[in-house]
Amino acid sequence: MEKEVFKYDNVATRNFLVATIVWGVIAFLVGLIAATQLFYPDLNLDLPWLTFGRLRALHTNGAIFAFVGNAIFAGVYHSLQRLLKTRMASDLLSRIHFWGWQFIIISAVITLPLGITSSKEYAELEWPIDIAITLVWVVFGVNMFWTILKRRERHLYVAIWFYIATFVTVAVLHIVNNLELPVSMTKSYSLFAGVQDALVQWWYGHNAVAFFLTTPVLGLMYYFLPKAAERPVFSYRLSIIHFWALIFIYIWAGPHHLLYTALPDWAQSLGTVFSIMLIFPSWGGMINGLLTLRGAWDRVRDSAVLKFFVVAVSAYGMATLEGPLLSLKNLNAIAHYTDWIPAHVHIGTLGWNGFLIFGMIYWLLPRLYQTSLYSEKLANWHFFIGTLGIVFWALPMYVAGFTQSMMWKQFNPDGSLLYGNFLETVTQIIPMYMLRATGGLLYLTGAVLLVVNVVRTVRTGTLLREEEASAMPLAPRYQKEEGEYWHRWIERRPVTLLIWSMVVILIGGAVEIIPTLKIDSNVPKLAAVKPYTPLELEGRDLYIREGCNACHSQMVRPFRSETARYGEYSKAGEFVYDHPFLWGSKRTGPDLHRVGGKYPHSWHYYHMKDPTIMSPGSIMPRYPWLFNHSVNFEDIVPKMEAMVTLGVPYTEEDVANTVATAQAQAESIAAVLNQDENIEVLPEDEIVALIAYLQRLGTDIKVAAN
Amino acid sequence: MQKCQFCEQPIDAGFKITRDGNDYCCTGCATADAMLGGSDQEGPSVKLIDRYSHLSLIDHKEGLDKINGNHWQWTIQLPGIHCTSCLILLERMGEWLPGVRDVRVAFSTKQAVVQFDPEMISVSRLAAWLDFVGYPPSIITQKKKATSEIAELGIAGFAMGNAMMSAFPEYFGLSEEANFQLLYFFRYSTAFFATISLMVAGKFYLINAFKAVRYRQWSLDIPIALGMLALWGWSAHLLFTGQSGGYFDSLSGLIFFLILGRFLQGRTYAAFSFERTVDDFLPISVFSLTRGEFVRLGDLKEGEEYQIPTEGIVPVKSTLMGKAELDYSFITGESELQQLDRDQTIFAGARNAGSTLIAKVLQAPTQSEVEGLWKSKDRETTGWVSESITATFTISVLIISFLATFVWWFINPDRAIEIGVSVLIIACPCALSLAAPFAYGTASKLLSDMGLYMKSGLGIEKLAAAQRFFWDKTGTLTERASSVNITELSESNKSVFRAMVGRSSHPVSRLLAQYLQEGPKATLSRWEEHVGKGIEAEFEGQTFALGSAQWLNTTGDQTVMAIEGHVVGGFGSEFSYRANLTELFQAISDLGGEHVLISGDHPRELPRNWSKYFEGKSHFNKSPQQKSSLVQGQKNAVFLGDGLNDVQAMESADLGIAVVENSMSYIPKSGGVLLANQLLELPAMIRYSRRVRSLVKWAYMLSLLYNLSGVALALFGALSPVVAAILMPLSSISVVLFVVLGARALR
Amino acid sequence: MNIIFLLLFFSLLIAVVFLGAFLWSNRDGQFEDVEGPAMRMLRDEQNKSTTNS
Repeated sequence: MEKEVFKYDNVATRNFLVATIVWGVIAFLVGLIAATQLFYPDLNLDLPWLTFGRLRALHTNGAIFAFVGNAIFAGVYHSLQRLLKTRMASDLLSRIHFWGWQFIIISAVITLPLGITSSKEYAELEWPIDIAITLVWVVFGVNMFWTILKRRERHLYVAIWFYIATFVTVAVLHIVNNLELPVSMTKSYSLFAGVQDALVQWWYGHNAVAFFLTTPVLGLMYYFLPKAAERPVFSYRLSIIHFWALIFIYIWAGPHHLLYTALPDWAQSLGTVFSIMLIFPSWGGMINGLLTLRGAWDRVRDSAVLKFFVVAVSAYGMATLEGPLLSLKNLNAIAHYTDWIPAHVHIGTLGWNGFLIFGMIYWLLPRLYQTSLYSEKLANWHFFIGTLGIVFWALPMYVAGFTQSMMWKQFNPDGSLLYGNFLETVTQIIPMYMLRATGGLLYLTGAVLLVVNVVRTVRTGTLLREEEASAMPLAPRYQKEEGEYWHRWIERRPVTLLIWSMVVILIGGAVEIIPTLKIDSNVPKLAAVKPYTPLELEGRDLYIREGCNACHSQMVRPFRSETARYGEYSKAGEFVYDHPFLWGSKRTGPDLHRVGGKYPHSWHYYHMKDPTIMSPGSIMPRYPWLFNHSVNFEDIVPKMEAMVTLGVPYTEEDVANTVATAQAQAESIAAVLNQDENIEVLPEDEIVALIAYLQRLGTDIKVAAN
Repeated sequence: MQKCQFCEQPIDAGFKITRDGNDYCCTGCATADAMLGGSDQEGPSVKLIDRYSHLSLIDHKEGLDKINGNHWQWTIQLPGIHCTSCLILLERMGEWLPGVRDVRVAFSTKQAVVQFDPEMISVSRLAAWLDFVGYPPSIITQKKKATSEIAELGIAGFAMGNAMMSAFPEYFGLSEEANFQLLYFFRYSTAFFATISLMVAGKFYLINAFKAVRYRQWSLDIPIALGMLALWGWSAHLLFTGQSGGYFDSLSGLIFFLILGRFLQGRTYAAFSFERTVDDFLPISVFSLTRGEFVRLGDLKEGEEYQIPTEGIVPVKSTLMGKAELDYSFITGESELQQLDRDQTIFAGARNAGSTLIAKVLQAPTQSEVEGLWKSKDRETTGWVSESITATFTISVLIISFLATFVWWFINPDRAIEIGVSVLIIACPCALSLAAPFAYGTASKLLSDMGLYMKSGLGIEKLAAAQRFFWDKTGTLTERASSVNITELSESNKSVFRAMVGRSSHPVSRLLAQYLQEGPKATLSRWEEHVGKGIEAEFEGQTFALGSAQWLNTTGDQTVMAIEGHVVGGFGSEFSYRANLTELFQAISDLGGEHVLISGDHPRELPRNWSKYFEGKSHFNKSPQQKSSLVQGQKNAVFLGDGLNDVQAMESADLGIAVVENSMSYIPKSGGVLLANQLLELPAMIRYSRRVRSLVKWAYMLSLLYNLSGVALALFGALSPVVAAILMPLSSISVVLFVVLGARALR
Repeated sequence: MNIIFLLLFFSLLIAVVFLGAFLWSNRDGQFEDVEGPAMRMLRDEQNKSTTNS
């Protein structure tokens, strides 16, 4: 039989690889700037688009979707062709995929610093970009499945299963979490509110980590690790079990992000149980990866690529053990909202994702350019500096997280908080922030060495654009006829029945449920909780624009240490009009859920102008532009209308009087400011709307109590 | 550790092959290096062995499927597959062998699926090529693959996961007050998943229990099925009456663990075909001289003349049409080759140790004695737990359940049925039935690392119980050792002998060819083969001879090399006892074992220090039937043999173990395969199996304890769904962990 | 908390899709050989060398 000669497309792989490196360096740099601002806030130069709240989203999106995303695609486009012994199905789709993805990233780079955000973590991009992501994702899927259909290799290697899982799951997650009602091209509101929105968000957030940062990268590991080690994976059987077990368990672990929140207890416990169960498949995968190198440790000593892989797989093991442990309630009570969580996350991203990707780049690039790596030594330096970077990043953050959490919970013998001023717990850990930034700098330095190495390597070689390969065509599948009696047919029935009945039930369920979502009868309604006034709504959007939720939570947990510091713990019913929810996930600053009425208007005025006036030593940025930008009250009208569509009980009258109501409230706040401290503000100033929102926060219950 | 030149993997000492001064781990690598590495001294024009011409008549029974006119597919066993290069070499055959479309190797099962064009390459030629590159095909009758088991396991696992997911919220405090809709949604989902699991995966137990009842046998499936049905029925009752979610989550967990246990129990060493039949041993067809074509065995007529190639097996009782040299060791155990003359009768199962011979069919093949060698009662393997225990267990459970209902009827009639049913539920012997499969499954894996491959876990129990060890002599206690003396040969003389043996297909020639190694071959002016005697050749006026000592009128080696009548070298091969057997016998005796020697050979002197083991217990000249009857009826008997002649004895013994030289060799039907170089480890293996057997007994106690405490809870009406959901998986998991970890620790 | 139904719906949808995929791959014989594929994937470098020669 004649072998078929065909060509692998290396151009798409190269393009994604270059994009990985470029965006990677940018994402690391943005991260470094943001980290530096936490001990040197002036670094933002008082420019709105350089403030921490906006940069953080840029950093996370850049690292996840631009750096890791492009690397995944590079790895998939390279390995898929070779595993299936066929060229990617369509060069056009490959090109659309590549440029579409870069277009999305550029849109993010523009919109996020401008404060155009939906505020949902790792899903901050606004609805037009969400649609673009969906389209590009479909292009990727079509290209991948089409390639699978025209394969010359019958067996789908386990890496491909990881890619498929990534595609399917991310598609569903992305769509569900981004169900939102557009108000304008740059603004939309989440379809869900409060607890519901939080649950959807963290179901997404957890699974985005699972299916964007874990499964595809595991696929890459199962391809590139054996390739680089030149030996088959330790146990292929184990890798298959690893895949199926991971897929079936991962999806349920989401609620562990919401422990001690207003989420029902049973849902929290469910999340914990499934998180603990995740340890088994995850460690199975890690052990499989490490044991692949058994008997080849001498090679690890000589090869930078394998060194990167070893640290990456070890980091995967650490992160997947730590994650489930953090989902235990008592540990979570300490770690949540502190710097422990970023430390945990960065073990995963810097260690697992970053190092696996660096290893892949060093292995892949010389092959694409038909040359050898410019300098193995430089790659080794990258490895050592990068590893040091991870250590300097994570260790101080573990210390910071633990220290701060303990300080939050310290009481005096008389029952008052030992560190009543939140700021004390912040200034305590500033040296740790400095060390962390050093870690980031080291990691970035490593990446710069990578760039040098890559540029030099590329110069010595020429790109093999079309790589010739040959393989036998796929042999036809011959199924024996015998034994296909009626009982075989009947045996298959239950399985077919199972699948179809589940599909039918699911569709039926969805049809019934979706209409009931906006008017949820089951979140305990609190009579005192009222919708926001137009001005407060506008202030809330400013809160979202500035990314306040990056540093401030709005969720007082039912602990004595928290109720003593902030006030009454948060109830599910208080958030029913929060589209989207703004619970936050990190307390770089104090919780704000009970901040309403705690300080006079003027305090907020001065504090936003320069936080150090009210809290000397604060690391919060100044927001001077809030004082010279003005709100157009007319713009609030469509927002009110959107809220009505989402089920917020504004009356027609409320909507009709939007401008007047807002004007009146703004004027009264301006009057109070003038009266108390002789401050001159225009009612249209953004600061007024923000003050209105902050003073409203968490006050409904107080009103009821009075 | 030495590394293979081609695949760079460490070379297994037993497999080392040297060619052109390079070391390889297998013939595959050596050939792959030659074929693909550019050294093109061997193009596809090499001389192939014509041993496979009889395959031209194979059919779908032997794995050949005709997809269409010029597209056939052949599924074959290639026991030689063992490393990455094997896979590469075989799957790339299509690149250099015309007519081969596709080769697909299944590494785990050492099977290959070859698609080819019959007009371009015949089956026989394909087989010969496979043999040439180092993978002599072994024809197997096709077996059913158990894909449905994996599917059932997957569905049971899926159902369990989802049933757990939807049952947990209620345990974690989701109440009717908190969310009525959600609670009921979860309850019905759990029921749905458990029911699916029962229908798809659990039905096996229900059907088996039904069968057992119909044939009036006690099997552990009965109480299991009873428990499952009670669990389902009572849960459905609780669900529909709105009292609680029932025990559906326990049910789905129970089914998953049972299925998992069954799956692991059914797993065996795919590389060894334990289920051999006589068809695997006899040729598919022979070349009939009368008809001038190949004829399938069943179609041979009395009086028909046919050919048996070198190494071929005599398929039927026949009369020789010329001289022949036959090896009867497979049938009788006699290791000496037999020289036979024209008109002598030869029997089925004998191996042609000489050149191609011609014979005439004496008896139609249906009455072949080979068939008789194989005929065995298909002993139905009983379950793990003996029938009497099962019967006592089941009856007690039923009685307790009935009594409980009866007594509670007077205490509180509302709860009487519930209590009775919950006794049935909690007494379900899930853990009990899992203990042995998991323990022996783990032990079997560990034994395989030691060199003993058991067909099933039941064999380990037999090994633990073994008291009498029946030893076959030839091939089991002895090994064939070759001695070769070619040091005096000059290079030029070597090239002459190389050319001489190169043209002969006689087994001795082929063996000698290996010792002479590859190198230049002289061009002979004359070459003549004398059947049963040797080869004579002329080179540059000198007469070279190679043949039996008798023929060349000398003594000493069995095969002699001579130039002009002068002996220049020799070659001998004989059986000698393996090393350190005395220690082996002593160690087994120390374990309370008794030895018996059975041989098909003529009586021969045994080493002196063996007399204390075999005094009055050595039997010679025993036919396979006699061997079998010696073993028959002996309690706790293990038979260790190596050949076809031992098959009957192995079947008669409680446990038959085949002792083989390497994992590639022909393995007769047996309960276990022991690598010959690990023979001395047998006492350690026995000790280990005994430890595992007592571990299993402890596990039985443990699971009965669980059942008893569960029953006690049930009797007092304290068996709530939560308790059941904790107790049932806990008992299964703890028993499984106990035996798995225990079996590892005892190693 | 009707949102839980929605999340269950999508989670189960994904689970059912993968159950289907699992059953397909089992029936397609993807699990028949659980050692060979790991070795086969290492192979393409040699493929290149033959086309070059």
